[in-house]
Formats: sequence, C-alpha cells, structure tokens
Amino acid sequence: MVIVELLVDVSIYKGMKLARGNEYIMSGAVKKQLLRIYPGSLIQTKNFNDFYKKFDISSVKDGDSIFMFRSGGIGDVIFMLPIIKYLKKNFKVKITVATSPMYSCVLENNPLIDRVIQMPFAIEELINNKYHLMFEGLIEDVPEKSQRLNAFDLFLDHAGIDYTKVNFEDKLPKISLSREVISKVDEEFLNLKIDSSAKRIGVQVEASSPIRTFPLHKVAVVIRRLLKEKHCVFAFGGKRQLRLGEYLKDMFIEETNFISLISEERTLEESIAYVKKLDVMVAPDSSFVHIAGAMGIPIVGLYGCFPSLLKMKYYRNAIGLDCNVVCSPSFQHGHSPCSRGIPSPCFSVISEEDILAAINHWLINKPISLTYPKFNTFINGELSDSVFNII
Amino acid sequence: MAKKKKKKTSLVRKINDQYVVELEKNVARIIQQYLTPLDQRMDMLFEKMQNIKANIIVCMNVLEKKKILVRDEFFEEFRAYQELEGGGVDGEGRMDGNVVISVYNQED
Repeated sequence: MVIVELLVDVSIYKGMKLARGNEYIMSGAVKKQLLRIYPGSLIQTKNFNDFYKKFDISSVKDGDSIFMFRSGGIGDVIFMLPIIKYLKKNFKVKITVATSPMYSCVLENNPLIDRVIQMPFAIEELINNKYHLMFEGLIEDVPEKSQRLNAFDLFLDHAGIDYTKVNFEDKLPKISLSREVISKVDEEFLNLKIDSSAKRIGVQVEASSPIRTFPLHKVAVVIRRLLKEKHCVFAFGGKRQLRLGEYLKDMFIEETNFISLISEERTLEESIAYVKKLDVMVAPDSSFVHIAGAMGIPIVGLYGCFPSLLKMKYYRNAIGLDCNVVCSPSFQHGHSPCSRGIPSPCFSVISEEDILAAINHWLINKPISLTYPKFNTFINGELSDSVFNII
Repeated sequence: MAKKKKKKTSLVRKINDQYVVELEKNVARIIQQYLTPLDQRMDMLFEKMQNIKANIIVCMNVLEKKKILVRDEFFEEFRAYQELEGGGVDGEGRMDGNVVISVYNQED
C-alpha cells in the first residue's frame, strides 16, 4: 500500500472521486492505473508502515476502533465477515470496513459494521482508528498458510484469532441486503411468472479469472439439460460477461425458462437478491460460490487449480467437484489463463453428468456416493468420512 | 524494433511411453538441487512454463526411468505424487485424472 497526494481531481471506478490536495491510501496497482489514466496526477508522500498500527487481539478493549480493509474480490470481502462477528460478539468495539466501490454492497447493510467506506481511502482513516487490519495479498502472498488453511480460517488467523476455537456457526458468513433492492427483485421475480413447480438453478457463466473458468461448451450442455427437465435457469455474471450473456440469450432464445441476469443495468446487490430465490447455485471458483454460501443456498462448486476445501469447507449444503489431475492443485493466482491450455485442461475430468448429478443431489436428494467412488464428507466443517482424502 | 517472441506451447509430452520434458531454467535448477553431484547433467530442453509442480513430478518420473541418481529428499517431497503420471494434455485439451467430490455440511 502507498500514501499519495492528489495533484488534480480524479474520477475512478463507479464514479468515485478523489480530491486534489488530499492524501489517499491505495495499492501500488491502483496507483499505477491512476497514473496511466491521469499522468502526473499524484505523488507518493508518506510511508504507509509509519501509519499502519497492526491489530492486536490481545490488547483490544471495549471502546476501541478497528479499521479493516480488503479491496476485493467478493469472496475475499466475505472472508472478513466472521472476524467482524467474532469481534462484535466479544468486545464493544467500533468497526469500519473499506473495500472497493464495486463490492461495498456486500457490507453496507451488515448490522455488525458501524461504517463502510470505499477504497482508496483517506489517510485520516488510519489516523482516526486505533487498530488496523489489512487483508491485501493475504491469500496471494502467504502460500505456506493459504495453501493449507481454509480462507475463513486464514483470515481469522491473520486477525490473531484462534480459528480452532471459533465455532462452525460463527464461521458462516451472512450478507444483508437493502429493503429497496429486495422489494425490487421480488417484484421483478413475480413478473417473470415462473411455474411454481419449476426448480430454480443459478449458473455463474464465467469466473473472474480465465484459469478458473469452467468450459463454456459444458456450461451450455448443463443449461440445456436443466431446461429439458423443465427447470428454470438463471445466468449470473458481471459487466465483463455482457457479451457472453447475449450469446447465451441467443442460444436459448426459445426457452422461456432461461433468464439471463447479465445486463448493463443489473447491480451486484440485485444479483445477490436473486441468488436468494434459487434452489441451487452452480459456479466455478469465483464470487457466486461465496454469495450462495453467505445466502444459505445449496452450491455446486467447480474447482480446478485450487481445492474446494480451501473455499467451501464451512458452507452449508455445498458440493465441491475437484479435478484430481497431475498438476492440481496448482494454486495459480492472477488473471492469466492456464499455461497448459484454454480452457484449463483439468476441467476435462469434470463431465456434464458429474455436475447434473451434484445438482440433483440437492434438488431431489439423489444419493451421489454411488456415482462417485471418491468422495469426502464434512459435518460442521470437519472431515467426517473420506474415501479419497483430497487434503 | 523489438523482436517478436515465438510462442511456445507443449511442455511435457509422452510419446511411446517416453517422456519429453521441456523446462524453464529456474525449474531445472530446482531439480538440480536434488541431483547428486555424480550426475548433474540435465538432458532436457528449457522452455518457459508456469506449472512448476506438475513438471517436477513428470520430471521425477523421467529421472527414475533414466536411472539418474537423485537424493532421497526429492522422492520424499514428492512421494504423494509418485503414482501420478501422464500429466500431459492431449490435442483436445483433455487430461488424465478423475473427479473428487466433497460434500460439505449437508443438512438433514
């Protein structure tokens, strides 16, 4: 993180404005991006470490103010929630949380958070809060822990909280939404006039990174098969998937039960409200696994280069389909495709039938252990049975 | 004008049960750490690659087949992967392997 002073007024994503003459804290990547768009717009002033007062759980007292931040993605923002719950349960502290403007809706209606602000944030946030907890780079830069611990445990550990003593219920994240958005989506949903007997399945069509994106041709087959079974399929995605959303809409143009929620106008908060309407969410290793987990919706997660265990272990009614191939888990971060090919070749081992069997497990309680000779089961986040232990 | 780099692709190939392994230099250095001083010669091509672990595994198999002397730690470290061969990707983007399913916290 760096501290910079703005030399001109600038606008960044989602209309957020940074004012000239003020000092802001931002990541090195955002600083570079700003300098690309607004050359000469800022200068680095102070040393971030001189202001960062690392949170110390052993000295927290009632009345303390704690400031935590992680820019994104959605999963990482959600991973902070059990810490907030733990702190509020055990101390009377004031908690401010900062994240990227794109993801702040995940936090804004959380009754446990006193204040949500957006990143980059003013230097005063560090000055005015007693303790700071930064989660930037935690998963990416600490492989010895992040490749071993579930993300929720990793975040708790980073806060100095003994994750082994936090119970399962308290590790479950929860997202609260605004009444306005819930009402809007309720109304929209009624207008869709979906047959009440139809099961509703959400599909995240693409991950935020190509290496974690499940092959589209298989996604399309799964959607087609679900529609044939008279289920209703909702396609989820963000602004980056607009073209893909159009492509799928065109592909299923005659299917009234195919509903694409991917549009320029659709907000993340609305998409989250739609997740609550689902019977099952199918998603690659990306945002909607965590959104469904936080909304208590059954999940089928499709995992390649990271083990599902590290992300899904504490979600209720979740199935992780992991690729057991020679290079998995490769723990490849970033936004590059797999060096072995596009789409990631490991996903070749997960068939459409595997996904449909997992979906049907949640929809009609069809046993899956007969289909899969290799499986693990977890109860309350603890491994209870393992035929082939993926750990 | 900067010279355009030639894009290279396949890293590990299995042809008639023989492995052809192409490794990045720093990966080869990792392997070399585990070779005994008696045979430090690496009969491999060097090429850019990302997936270090997978290629080390395949490389280990190559070393075994070639009966190159390798220190025990090497095998110990990658023991879990010894059974995994055939890490290559075929022309249709498929890999050998299987699905492992994990059911997390199913409610009654």
